Amino acid sequence: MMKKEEYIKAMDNIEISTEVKQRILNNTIKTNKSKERFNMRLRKKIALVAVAATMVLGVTVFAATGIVSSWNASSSSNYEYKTLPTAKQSIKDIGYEPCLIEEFDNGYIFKDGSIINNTLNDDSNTAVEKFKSVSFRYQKNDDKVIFSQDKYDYEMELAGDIIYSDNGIDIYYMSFTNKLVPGDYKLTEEDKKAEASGDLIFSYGTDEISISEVKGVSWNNDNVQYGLTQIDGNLSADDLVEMAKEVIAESK
Amino acid sequence: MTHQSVRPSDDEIENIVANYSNMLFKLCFSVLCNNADAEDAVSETFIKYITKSPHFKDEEHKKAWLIRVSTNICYDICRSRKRSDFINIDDLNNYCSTEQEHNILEEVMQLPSKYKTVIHLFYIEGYKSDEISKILSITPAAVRKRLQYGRKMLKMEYEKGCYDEKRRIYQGNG
Repeated sequence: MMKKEEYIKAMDNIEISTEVKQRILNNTIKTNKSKERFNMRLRKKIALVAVAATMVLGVTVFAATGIVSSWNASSSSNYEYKTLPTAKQSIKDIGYEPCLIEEFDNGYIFKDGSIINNTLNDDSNTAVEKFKSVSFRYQKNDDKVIFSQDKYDYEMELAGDIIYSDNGIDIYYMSFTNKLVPGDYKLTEEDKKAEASGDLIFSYGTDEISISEVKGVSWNNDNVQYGLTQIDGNLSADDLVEMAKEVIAESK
Repeated sequence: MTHQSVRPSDDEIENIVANYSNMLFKLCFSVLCNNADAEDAVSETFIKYITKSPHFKDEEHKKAWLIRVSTNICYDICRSRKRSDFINIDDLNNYCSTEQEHNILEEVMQLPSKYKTVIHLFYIEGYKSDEISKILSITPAAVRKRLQYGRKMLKMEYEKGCYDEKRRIYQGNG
């Protein structure tokens, strides 16, 4: 028998066992369900935090001891930074130097910024990590972009679709519709279906009902998670990617 | 432009595991040489599938994507092994009924990972060189070189079809 035929025949014997296949299937289904639950909770946090003018996009975070179940973020209603902070000021405020860009190539200029207090909690609502981050707003005419930078210890995995990759950095894109409703709003059947499918994220606490389109890009680089986000903005996904590339170049 | 990431349903996951886990396991075992690592690599491949939720043009596109992802995972596992680590291939005994089968598989297992992968995709999955090139994102020349070196190290004979492919390439290049 020719060696090639010997090889093919021998490889025929290698098969995944039923037990291993079942184990893999169970693990995949279980992981899929937990990612879905987490993303739904995270999108809710994103939407709520957006009302307070800062945003983080599509992150699934895994703690060393299990899955981080919730991410709480809070900031002052006044923007602490009226001008772009210096490196020294940033280090004093949040403990590290973020990427500091005064103006992007596409003309979006720094408007203001906030310091965000973040807490990552596990399933029992115990804090597993606390950290500070910054969220800067950039504006061109009336259009705004939120630039967030979060540095934390847990292994990060981003959700959404990879829209651009270069030199080991994947840029993810995500978009969703955010429906802002009063606190006593009752979901319709259509609302419930849309929420269950992930097409609509609800935020409670506004006086009137309104709908916003939220979109953005996010990526990890050197243990920092970056995000460029718009609420009802004019930029395309490609425009946001170009801004991301500027940040990546600036961060080197 | 809107890209809404939609997670696969349980049925879709069952379907993809049923259709592709065996194929991936063979490939991963071939590269990693043991059951435990192969199982981890296959599992990780499906986790990446549910995480990225990619859109596929057709089944061939899906299969190619799974192969590329699992190959990269296997290479990462290989890289994380220290040079001094002894690669245990005892698991081969579970699959071989004759000494001949054991010997040929042991030879293949000892090839460098990048040669094994190409040899596997060519002989076991039946892909052509240009298809392997697209799946692994390497040049067709690199595929042919790895096939050539792999065959040489295995002292695998050229068969007529393989020789004709090589001859056509030379003729094409003038």
